[in-house]
Amino acid sequence: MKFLTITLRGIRNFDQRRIQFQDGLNIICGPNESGKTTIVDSLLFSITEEGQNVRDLIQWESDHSSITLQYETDEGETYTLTRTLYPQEKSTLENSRILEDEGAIRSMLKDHFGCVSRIVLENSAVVKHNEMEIMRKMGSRDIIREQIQAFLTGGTKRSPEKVMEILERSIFQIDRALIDIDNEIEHELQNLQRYIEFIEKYEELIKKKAVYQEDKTHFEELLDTYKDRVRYGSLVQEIKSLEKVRDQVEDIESYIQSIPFEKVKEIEDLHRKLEEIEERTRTIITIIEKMERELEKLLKEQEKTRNFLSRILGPLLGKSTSSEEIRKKIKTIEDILERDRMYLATLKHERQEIQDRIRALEIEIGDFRGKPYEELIRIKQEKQREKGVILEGRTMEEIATLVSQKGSERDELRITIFSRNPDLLEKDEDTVKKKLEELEQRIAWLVDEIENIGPELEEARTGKEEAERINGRLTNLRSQKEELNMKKEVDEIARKTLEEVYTGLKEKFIPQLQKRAGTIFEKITGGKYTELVIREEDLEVFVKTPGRLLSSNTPGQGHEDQYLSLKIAHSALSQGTKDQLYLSLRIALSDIVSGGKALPLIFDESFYTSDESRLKETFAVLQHIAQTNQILLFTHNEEFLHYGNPIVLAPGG
Amino acid sequence: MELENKIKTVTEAFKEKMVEHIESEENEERKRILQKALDRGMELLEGR
Repeated sequence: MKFLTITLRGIRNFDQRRIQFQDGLNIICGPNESGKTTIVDSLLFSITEEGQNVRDLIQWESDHSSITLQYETDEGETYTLTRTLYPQEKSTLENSRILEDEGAIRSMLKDHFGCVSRIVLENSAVVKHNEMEIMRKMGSRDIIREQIQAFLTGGTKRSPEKVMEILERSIFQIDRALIDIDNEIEHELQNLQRYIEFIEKYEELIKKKAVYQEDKTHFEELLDTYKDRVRYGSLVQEIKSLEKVRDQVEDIESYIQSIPFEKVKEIEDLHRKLEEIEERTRTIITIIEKMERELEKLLKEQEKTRNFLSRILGPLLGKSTSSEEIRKKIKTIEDILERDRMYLATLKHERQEIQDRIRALEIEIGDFRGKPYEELIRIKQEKQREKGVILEGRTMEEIATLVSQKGSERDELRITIFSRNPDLLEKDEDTVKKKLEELEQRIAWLVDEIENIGPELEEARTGKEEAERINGRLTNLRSQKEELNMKKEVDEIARKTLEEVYTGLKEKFIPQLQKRAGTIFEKITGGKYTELVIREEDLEVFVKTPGRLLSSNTPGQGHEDQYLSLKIAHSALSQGTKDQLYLSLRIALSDIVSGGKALPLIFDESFYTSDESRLKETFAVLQHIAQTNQILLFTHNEEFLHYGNPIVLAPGG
Repeated sequence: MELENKIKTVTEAFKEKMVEHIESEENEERKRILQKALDRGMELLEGR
């Protein structure tokens, strides 16, 4: 695998630049701001499409930005990969055909390069700024371990060891938290015991109170009905009284109306008239009797005249009565008698009429018979007084209005009572009143009972609330516990699985890396060191010399089967050997990443603080490596140019 | 030099393993926990 060319259009400082690479070691040299980093970024971006913000690559005010990378696979096939960034993002991969689908391009690149993860490539195929120097100063062991870890983790921000440590710590903290929660639960359960009885008691008292309330309401409703019934009864009585008053007054008025004043007066007048007639009758009778006597006398006298002696002796005796005179007198008396007798008959008739009338009137006036007019007046006055007493100052209109009003009220109550309790109307007043009293007593008792429940209920409520509060806390705690248990289970599963896969990977990868790096290291050191050992537990790297092993703690002395760690072996291994070892590992990582495709290696200002002697050693190694892997070495140092194929970058791109 | 099959990264292997467990799990509750474990592991590996 090797890069052939890279063409940058509208990328940072490059308007348009095509760089051609050669096999072996390429030295790309340029001062600051000449675009070395841009080329590295462009190379990595092309393969991975990852990195900084794409916008960061686009040249300001450019109307077109693109990167075109031409490369050759191990099979000798040439591919052209173009990433257009502006005006629109688009990618193509061209060989015998053109691929435009991102997924297909990515898959193809993965096939060619073995990996399309930028971080993995950066930790394998790219050796960054002064990395070698940093490695020397800070401890190559740690950096190597980091590189291997970075490769294994695929560029994760945290190493698997760190993650497992975090998970273990988390599990430990959760266990402690669970213990605390269990203690708290225990404590709350004990607390709860003190209040649990209040829950039942409260329910009991609430039910009791509710029953009493219900009964009270029921009895109060019943009481209202009975009160209505009593009121109804009172109204009935009041109406009866009023009607009685009305009837009595009407009777009195009727009685007064029935007093036959006129008839009595008429009777009295008739009696007076009768008396007059009687008087006159008596007078007439007296007169008639007198006249009759007179007449008798005259008749006798007449008789006498008719007698001789009377006629002769008469004048002698001084009784000189002519017969004519007598006859005239008799006639007169007879006329008078006839008249008087007629008058008497009239009087008698009149008297009879009057008596008949009186009798008729007396029959008409009934019980008032024999009572004088004044008596009637007195009776009337008495009745009127009686009426006044009965009315008690009211008028009949007022009585009528009261009867009407109370009647309406009574009727309404009747309907109301009938609707609630039809039988109640039939009950007698005493029964109703007795029941009313019973109801009032019952209600009073219920009121007392309800009041008495109050304090006890309050106490039970407080206890219940406390119990509920404790229960709430318990529920909370149990919920927290469940959550923590789940979290613990999650962490345990994650930790276990991570350990499993990481161990598996190390078991699979470490031997490969060890073998591959060992082979390269052996080649680079010319057989001076034959083996590399990487300790799986901590990725510590050891070297093994053929037949001469170095002790880890005793530099310079050989001990069978003892290995020398890089750091500790500073006195045993030269810096140059450490560099070689490090590079061997990087190349081995790169090989493994690509699946044996010998990716180009990129060195981006990796040696700028190295001194001359070290550089010589390093370049010797690089030239050796360049026999199998294309190397692109970016530097500002022109003195490096002669080490490889020179590519010069001008300032400003 | 021929190498064995390309090595998976820890993240890839972890994810693959967890997905395998999730897909083979029938119990929904357990499935949920396994998913959380996957998310947890990924979150930590990615430095979140």
